[in-house]
Amino acid sequence: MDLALDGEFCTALMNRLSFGTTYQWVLIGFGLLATLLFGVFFYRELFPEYRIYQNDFVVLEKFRSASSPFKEGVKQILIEREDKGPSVVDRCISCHVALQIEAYSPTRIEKDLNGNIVYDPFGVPVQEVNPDYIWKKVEESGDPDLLALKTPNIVKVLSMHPLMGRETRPFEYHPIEEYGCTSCHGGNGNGLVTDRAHGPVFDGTYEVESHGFVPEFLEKDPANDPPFSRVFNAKPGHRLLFQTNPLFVGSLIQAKCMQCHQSSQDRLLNAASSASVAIERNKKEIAFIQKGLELEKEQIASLLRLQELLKKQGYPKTLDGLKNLASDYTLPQKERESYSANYQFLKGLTSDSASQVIEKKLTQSSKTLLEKEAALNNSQELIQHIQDVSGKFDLVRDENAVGHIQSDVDLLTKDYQKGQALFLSQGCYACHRISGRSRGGVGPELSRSGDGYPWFVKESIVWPQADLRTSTMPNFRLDHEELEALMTYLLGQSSKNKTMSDTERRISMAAWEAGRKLPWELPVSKENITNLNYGMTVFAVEGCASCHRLKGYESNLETDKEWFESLFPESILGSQIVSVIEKNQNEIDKRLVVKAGKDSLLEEIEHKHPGSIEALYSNFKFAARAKNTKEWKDRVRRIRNMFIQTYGLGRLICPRPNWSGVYRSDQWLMEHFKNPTSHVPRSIMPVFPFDESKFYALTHTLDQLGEKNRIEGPFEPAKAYQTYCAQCHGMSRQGDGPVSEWIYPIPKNLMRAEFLRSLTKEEAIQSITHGVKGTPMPPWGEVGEGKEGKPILSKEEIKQLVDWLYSTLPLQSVTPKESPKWNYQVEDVMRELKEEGAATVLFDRGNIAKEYYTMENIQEGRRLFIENCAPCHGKEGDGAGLRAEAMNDAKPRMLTNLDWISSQDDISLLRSIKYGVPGTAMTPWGDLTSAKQRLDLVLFIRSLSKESEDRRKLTDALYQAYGWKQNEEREIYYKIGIGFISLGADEKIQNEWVQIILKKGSEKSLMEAIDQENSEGWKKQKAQVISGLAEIKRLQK
Amino acid sequence: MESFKGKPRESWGQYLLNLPSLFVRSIFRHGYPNNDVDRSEIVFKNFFLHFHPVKCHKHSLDPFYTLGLGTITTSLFLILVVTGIILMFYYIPAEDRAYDIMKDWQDTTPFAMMYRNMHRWGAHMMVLFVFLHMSRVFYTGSYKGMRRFNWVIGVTLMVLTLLLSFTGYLLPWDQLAFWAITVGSNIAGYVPNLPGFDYNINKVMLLASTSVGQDALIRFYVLHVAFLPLITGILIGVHFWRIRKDGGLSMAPEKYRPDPYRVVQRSDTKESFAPGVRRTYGLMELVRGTSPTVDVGPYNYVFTWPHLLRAELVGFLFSLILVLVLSFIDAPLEEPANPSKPPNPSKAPWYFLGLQEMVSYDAFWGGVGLPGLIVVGLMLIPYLDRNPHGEGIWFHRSRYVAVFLWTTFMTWQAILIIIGTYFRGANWGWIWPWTENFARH
Repeated sequence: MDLALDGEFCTALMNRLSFGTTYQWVLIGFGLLATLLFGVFFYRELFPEYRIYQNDFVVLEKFRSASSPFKEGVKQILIEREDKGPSVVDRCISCHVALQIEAYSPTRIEKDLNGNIVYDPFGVPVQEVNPDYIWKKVEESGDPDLLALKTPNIVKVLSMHPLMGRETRPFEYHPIEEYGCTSCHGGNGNGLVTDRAHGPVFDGTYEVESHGFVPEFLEKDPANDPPFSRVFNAKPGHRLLFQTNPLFVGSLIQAKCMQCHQSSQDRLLNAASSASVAIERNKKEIAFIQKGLELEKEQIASLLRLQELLKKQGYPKTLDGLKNLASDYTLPQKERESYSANYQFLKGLTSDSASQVIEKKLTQSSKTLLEKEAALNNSQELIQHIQDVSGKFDLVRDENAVGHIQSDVDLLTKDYQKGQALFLSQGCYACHRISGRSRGGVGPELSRSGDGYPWFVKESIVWPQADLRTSTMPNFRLDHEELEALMTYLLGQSSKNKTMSDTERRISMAAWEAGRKLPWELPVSKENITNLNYGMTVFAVEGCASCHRLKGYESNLETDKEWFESLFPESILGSQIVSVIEKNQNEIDKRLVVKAGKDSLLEEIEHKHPGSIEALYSNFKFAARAKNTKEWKDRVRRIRNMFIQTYGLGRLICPRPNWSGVYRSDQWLMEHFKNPTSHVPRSIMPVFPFDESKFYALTHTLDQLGEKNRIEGPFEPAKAYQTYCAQCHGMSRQGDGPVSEWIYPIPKNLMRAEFLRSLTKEEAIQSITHGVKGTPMPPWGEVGEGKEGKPILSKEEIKQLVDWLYSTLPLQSVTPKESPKWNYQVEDVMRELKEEGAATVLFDRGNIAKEYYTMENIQEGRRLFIENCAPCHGKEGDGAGLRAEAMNDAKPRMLTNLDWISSQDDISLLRSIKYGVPGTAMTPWGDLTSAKQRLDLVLFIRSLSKESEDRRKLTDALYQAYGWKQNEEREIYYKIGIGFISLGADEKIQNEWVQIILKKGSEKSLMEAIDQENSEGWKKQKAQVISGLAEIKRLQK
Repeated sequence: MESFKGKPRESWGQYLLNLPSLFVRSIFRHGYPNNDVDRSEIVFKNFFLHFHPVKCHKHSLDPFYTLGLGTITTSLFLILVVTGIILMFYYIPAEDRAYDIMKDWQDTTPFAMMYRNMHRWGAHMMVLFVFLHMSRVFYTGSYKGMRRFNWVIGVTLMVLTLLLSFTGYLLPWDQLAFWAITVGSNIAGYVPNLPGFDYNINKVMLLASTSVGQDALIRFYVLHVAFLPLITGILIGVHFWRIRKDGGLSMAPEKYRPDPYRVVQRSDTKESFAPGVRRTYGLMELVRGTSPTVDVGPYNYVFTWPHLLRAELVGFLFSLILVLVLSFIDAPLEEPANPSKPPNPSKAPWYFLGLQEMVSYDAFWGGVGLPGLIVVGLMLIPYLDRNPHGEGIWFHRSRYVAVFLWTTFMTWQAILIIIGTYFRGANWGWIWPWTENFARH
C-alpha cells in the first residue's frame, strides 16, 4: 500500500513538474511575443515616411551640388487662427521639401534678352522648358543609383509648386509661411503619413466601403476619360473615412479659392445691390426729413393762427375758445389733441408775453424750415446722383458684358464659374436651396454642401438614390467634366466663406429672403413673351431641357433626315457614335452640310451660354473625347447639333412637351407650371421660381412649337407609335420607355394580352383620344380648350393605331365585350343586393345616390379597406402600400388621385373590385366580398377623395385667412377642421366651419367662436360639434 | 574576564564592503527566494505581493479550471489604467477641443495610436472577459457557501465595468460617441420619472443636462477617470481579499488526504507537498473560517513564489498580447459630434445593443425593467441556489437545471447583441449584413 501510495505520489510529482515547466515555457513564449509586438509598434515609429523623401532630397541636392543647408526632421508651419484658438499646424513641408526650388519644376519663367520676364498678350508670364530640371539632369547623368530614385511617387512629392496665374515664383501672392498648404488644399496638416495627411483621394485606389451592387451610369473609357473620373468614386472604408478632410484635387481646389475671393460678376452684382441698399436708406432718411418739414410747416400754421386769434379776440377769449375746441368730441382726436396742446402752451404764458413769445417762435421756426428745405433738396440731389451712377450697374445684369470681364480670379476659377452656370442650366436651382442664390425647397439644402465630403457630393449627383432610396432626383448622367465643375461649385458652398463680412452677409440674405429678385426671376419684357427664340432659350438654358426633350431647335445644318435617323437612332450610346462616325466619316462630311452664312438659334445659344447644351448629351461628350483632333471634335459637334434638330433639345427623363401646346389648354399649361402636381399627381417636376410672365412666355413657346412640330406625311401606326407612344410605353411596348421611370402610374404594358383583352378597343380609343385624367397620358385626339386647329391624331388615325396594337394580340377569339366584367351593370348590382337580402340602393347614372353615404356605411367601408386593400393601396388609399414596392408592371392605383377618380363612375369601380384588373396585381374580389361590402368600399374610396377635396378647400380657406404662416393656434384650427371632416360631419357643417375660420381669424378662441355663431344650421349641429370636439381631443391624446 | 561587548564595531572598510547588500536589504526585506524561508518572506514582506498567501493550493494553478479569466480581467484593468493615464496627459474634456485633440494626437504623437487602440480594445475585451469570468464562476458553482457575497461584489464589478466603458465611450466626442451616448442615456431615461420634475431626473442626473453636451462631457470624464476607477479598484481589492479569506479559489473537496504524519516535508524543493505540520500559524487558530492552514494540513500546497506568480504573469502577458494584437486595428474616430446630424440607426456600444434591441420591443421593460431585474437576479443567484453540490466542478451533474438556465440566458443575450450589431439598419429595421445598407450618413 505504501508503495502504491508512493507510486501515485510520484506520478503527481511528475505531473506537477511538467506542469511547472509548461508554465515556464509559456511564460517565455508570451514574453517574447509581447516584446515582438511592441517591437513592431516601435519599428513603425522609428522610420517615419517623411524620412524617405528627405533622404532622397538630400541625395538629389548633393548631386545638384546645391549649397543651401538642409536639416532633416519634422518641419512645420504654424498658422494663427482668427478666433485665438490653438494655431493650425501644417506639416506638409516635412515631405514636400522642394516646393520652392526651381530646379524641381519642369518649366520655368521665360526671360528675354534683357533678362526681363516675357508676358503673353493676356499679361500672363510665359513659361518655357526648364533646362535645369533635376530629373532631366539625373537622366543625363545615367547614374543608376540616382535613376533608381526616379519613381512617380518621389517625382510627385519632390516637385516645385506649379505657378498659378500671374505668379513668377511659387507662393508669390500667398506666402507659404502665412497660408501654409492646408488652407487651400484641405487635408490634415498634422498628419505625417500619406493616408492621414491627404485623405483617400489619389487615383481612386483607396480602401473602399463595401456597398454591394453599384450601377454604372456612364460609359467607361479608361483611355480617354479625364482624371476626375477616377477620384471620389466611392465612400472610403472605415479606416480612412474620418481620418482627415480630404485633399481637394484637380479643379476642386477652386472651391477653396472662392471661399476668400469673389468672381468679378459677383463683385459687380454685390456692388449693384449695395448701391441699391444705400439708395433705399437715403430715401428713408429723406422721408424723415420730409416729415420733419411737414410738421414744422404745421407748427408755423398754428402759430400764425394763434397770433391772429390773439390779435382778434384777446388772450382770455382765445384761451376759452381753445379749451372748448379741445373738449369738442365731434372733432377728430388728432385735432383735439393739438388744440389741447395749444391750450397748454398758451396757458403757460401771460396775456402780455404771449404775442412776443409767439413772434419769437415764429422767426425761429421759419429759420429751421428753410434749413430743412435746403437739407431735403441736397439729399434729393444726392440720391439722384447715386441713382444715375448706379444705373450703370444695370450693365452688370447683361450676360454678354459679364462673360467678358476677366480678372485673375476669374481666370483661375473657370470650373467654378462653369459649375455655377450648370447649377442654373441643369435646373438644380429649382429643387435645391442655396441661400442667396436659389430658392428650391424640394431637395436638400446645399448652402453648406462644401462642409460635407466630396465623395458624398459626387455620389449624390451620379446616383441620387444611393443614399436615400426614396429620392425623386432623376439621374442626369452628367459627364465627368460637368460633374467636376458642378462639384467644384457645390464644394465652394460653405459656412467658411470669407468674401463678405458677417453683417454684410446678413443684410444681403435678409434682402434675398424678403424677395430680392435674381436675374432669372425677373419679369419678362412684353416683346419677349411672344418672342419664340426667347422662350426656347429659356427652355434650353434655365433648366427645362435638363429633363424634357423639346423638338424645334434649328441649327445651321442640313442633311437627309432619314439617312441621319438610320445612322444615329435616338438612344445611341457614346461608343456607338464613335464607331458609326469612324465607319461613315466621309459620307457624314459630305452630307452634313453647313447652310451658308446662316447661324440659327442653336448656334446662338451655344455661343451665349457655352457648355450648357453639350452638358445635356454625355454620349456626345464621350464621343468627342475619343480622338483629340480638331476635325473630330467639330464633326461630333455638328452631329450633335443635327441630333438636336432631329430629336429635340434636352434630356429624355420626363415626357416630351413637343405637342403639349396643341392638346393642352393654356390654362392647363400655366397650372402645370405653377403646380405640377395639380394635374399630374406625383409629378417630380419642381416649381421654377419664374415670374408669371416667364411662364406665359413658355406657354406661348409650347403653343407655337406644338404647331411647328406636327408630323406631316402619310400615317403609319408603327411609326406613330414610335413617335408618340414609345417615350412612355417603350419601343418594345412593355411600358418601359425612357421616361417611364419617373411618371406615375407606370405606363401600361401593351404586350400583356390579359390587359389588352380586358380593355375593349373602344376604351383604348377613348383613352388615346381623351387621355387618362390624373395620369401623364395626354389627350392625343383633342385640342386644348380655347385653341383651334386639328388634333395631333385624328379619329381615323387613332383607330388605325389601336387596330395595330391589337393586331399583335395572340388568341383574338375572346372578344372583350363578352367578358362578364363589361356586362356588369347597375341592374346586376341591384339583383345581387336583392339576393343577399340587403337594402337596395339607388343609382344615378352609374353613381351611387347621395343618400347612401352614411357614417355607418363609410365606416364599414373603411374597416374593409384597411383589412383587405391597405396592404397594396396604402392605409390612406394613396397607392403606397407595403406590397406596392414589389409590383413591376402596374402599381396599385392612387385612389386619392382626384383627376382620375372623378373620371371613373361608381359602377366601373365596382367592376374592378368584383372582377379585378387583369394584367395587374388587382385580383377579383367577387368571391370574397358581398355586393354590399363592395358598395361600402366604393363609398369609402369616394369619401377619401372627397376628404382630400375638403382638405384642399380648408387649406385654401386657411391660406386666404392667414397666408402660409401657421402658428400654433392656426394649427389647432386646421387640425380641428380636418377632424370634423374625418369624423364625417356633414357637408354643411364643414362649410360653415370654413366660414367661421375665415370670419373669426385667430383672435377668438375656439369655444367663443362656437358660442357666437348663431346661424340656423349651426345651432342644429352645435351639440354634435361639441361632442365631435371632445372626440377629437380624445383622439389627439 | 572578558565581558561581552556586543557586536564589534564595523570598520569603514567592512561597512563599505557590506554597503551594497545593506542597500539591497534596506529595500527588500528578504533574501533571494531560493529557499523556502525567503519564498515565504518575499510574499508577506513585499507590499505588492502580500495580498497573496504564502502558499497556494496547486489546484489554483490548474489553467483548465479557471482558464485564467479572472487574472485576465484584472490584467486588462491594469492595462486600462496605465494606458488611460497616458491618454489623460493629452486629453481635454471640452466640447470644442476633445475631438481635435484626439485626432491630432493620434496622428502625430509617437505610439499615440497604439495607446489609444490598447485602451479602446482593452475596454471592449474587459467587458467580454468579465462575462466570461462570471460564466466560469457560475459553471463551477464557485459562488456557494462562504463565497456568496463575493459573487454579489462580482456582479457589482460587472456593472461598474459596463459603466466605465460607457462613460469612456463619450470622450472622443465623435459621431459614434455622441450618438451612442445619446441612445444610452435615452435608455436611462426610460426609468419612470420622479413626480414634480419636468425632465426625466435619471437622464438629467446622468447627463447633467437634458441632452449630451459639455456638461455631460465633463461629468462623464470625471466619472470615467476618477470616480468609477476608484470604486472599481477598491471593490477589486475586496473581491481578492475575500477570495483569500475564503481559502483561495474554490475547489471540490479533496478525495485523497494523506496521513499528515506520514508525509515528509521536503524543504527547498519546488515541488513541496508539505503536509507535515498539522498546525502552522498560531494566530489562525483563533480565527474561524476557511484559511488554508487552520485544521488542514497544507497538503498539495505550493509556494506562491514562483508558482502562482508565474501563472498570474502568464495571464497578464496573455492579456497584453491580446490587446497588442487587437491594436493593429485602429480605434474608430468618426466625424466630430454633430447634434444636428443623427446617423440612422444610432447604435449604442455593442455591449448595450442587447439592451437597445430589447428597447425596440418595449422601452420600459427592455431598457429598465428587464435589465434591472437581470442585475438584481444575478445578485440573488447565490441565495436562490440551494443545491450544496457542485462547488469547484465544471458542469456538476446535480446542477443541470442551473447550467441550462445560465447557458440559455447568456445565449439569449448574445443573440440579442448579434442581432443589434449586424442585423439592424435604418429605423432599427431588419437588414441582412451582407446586403447593401442604405443607412450610411
